[in-house]
Amino acid sequence: MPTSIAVESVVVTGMGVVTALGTGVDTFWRNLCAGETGVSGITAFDVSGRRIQIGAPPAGFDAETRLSAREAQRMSYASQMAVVAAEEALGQAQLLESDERSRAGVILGSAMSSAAASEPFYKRYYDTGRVSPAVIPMCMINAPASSVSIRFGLRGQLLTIDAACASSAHAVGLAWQLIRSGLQSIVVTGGSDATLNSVLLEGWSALRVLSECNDDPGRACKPFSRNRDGFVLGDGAGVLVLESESSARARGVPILAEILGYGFSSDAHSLTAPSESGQVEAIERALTNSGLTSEAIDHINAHGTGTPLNDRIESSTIRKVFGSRTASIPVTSIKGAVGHLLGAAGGVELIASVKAAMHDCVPPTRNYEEFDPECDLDCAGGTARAVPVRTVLSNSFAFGGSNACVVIGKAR
Amino acid sequence: MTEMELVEQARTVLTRRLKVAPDEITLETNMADLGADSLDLLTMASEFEQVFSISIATKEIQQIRTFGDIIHQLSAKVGSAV
Repeated sequence: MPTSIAVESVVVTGMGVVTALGTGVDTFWRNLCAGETGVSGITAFDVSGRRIQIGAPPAGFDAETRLSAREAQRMSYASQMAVVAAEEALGQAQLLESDERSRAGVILGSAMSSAAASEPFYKRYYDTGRVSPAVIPMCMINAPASSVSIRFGLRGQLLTIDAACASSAHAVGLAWQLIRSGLQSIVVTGGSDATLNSVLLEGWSALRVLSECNDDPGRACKPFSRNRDGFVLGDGAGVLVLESESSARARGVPILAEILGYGFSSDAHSLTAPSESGQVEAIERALTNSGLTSEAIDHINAHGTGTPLNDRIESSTIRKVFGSRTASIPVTSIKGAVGHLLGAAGGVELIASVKAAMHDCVPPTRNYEEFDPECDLDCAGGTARAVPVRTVLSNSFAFGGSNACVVIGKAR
Repeated sequence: MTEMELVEQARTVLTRRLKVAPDEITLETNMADLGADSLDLLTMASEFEQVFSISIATKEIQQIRTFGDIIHQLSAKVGSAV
């Protein structure tokens, strides 16, 4: 993307989350920095006798206290979480009471929520031959984004991005492009996903990418650690209000951080295996589009799933891009704490990246226990670190080979 | 289950998944030479678990190189001497 067409700087003016570490950004960030875990035994459905019995469901989230009973009834779980996170983000951006929100767009990522929402409808059909008319509006993949648009009267560009684990990072990237080019001045973006479902859990389990640490859920997902054995599925949402700097300044709202750039690539390689060359290309594009070199990155929020293969390839990618600086860049994966939120992961991780830049604080990689020579990075184990964080690179690398990298800068 | 039955059932899983002829599969056949990638191995492991009512650990799947490796693992679990 040539920088010559750039006309607007893009800033973050609001954020909201629903995660296993809490609902609300302040709670999430406090628990993340304290090294807490949101991983626990699954109780939402029967997992007895299964290979995988743990997950990371949202904490402090009760749809019926946040939404009316009628609203909650009509929304899928992913839509409910998207609306709650969006309300927090719009509130922080001072848009809930402002007519200006009507010009805002909504671009949200979601990956598996449609399939998860469908399961009870399929079951009912196979059991009784009956199908509820709610199955289509509740299960369509664009329901979370549309629900946010409808609930808050946001009438700009309305899109859903499905690129598996990179969905919400791409959503943020597309929002960045729209604002930068002047086509939109405000976009509500990020993602929401719900994957803790009986059938999908078995599917991920069969792929052997989930941690089998059922006996000690808090220590299950161990990104970059030599003894890692996979990730933990999580449900949640991470929503950001992106806005042109001129719009934010005209409205007089606080600027939390700047989105400096976005890079993308396709591995054109495998539906399930990552590729170093594709990842390198996405990071280098993100740096170029940010007007930065690798020298300028202070912190990396990694994709860091905790599978043996992902973390080895991502480490190799980071070494290739950052060369001799690699050891001096703290690399955090928050998936050991909140699980892997798939289509919502990038949104939540970008919020962690913005908070890192706001507070000059690198959150820890929970469960980083053993050095792995194949993950020869500063993996930010232990406790949160107070260090200058002017820029953060957030990586999202998806099944299917879609890569999205976003660079965050401290608010000027 | 006899040794021959186990080998034939396992071979059937491979021919169905990998679209190869049964006579292409011997105990020495390397799975990669049959075009099997990691997703194929996981899918076949899942089928073996169902067909033989056994459980196969992730590390065991990662150790599979040849059809003989598969038969060795299966025979240990279903009690067939191969």
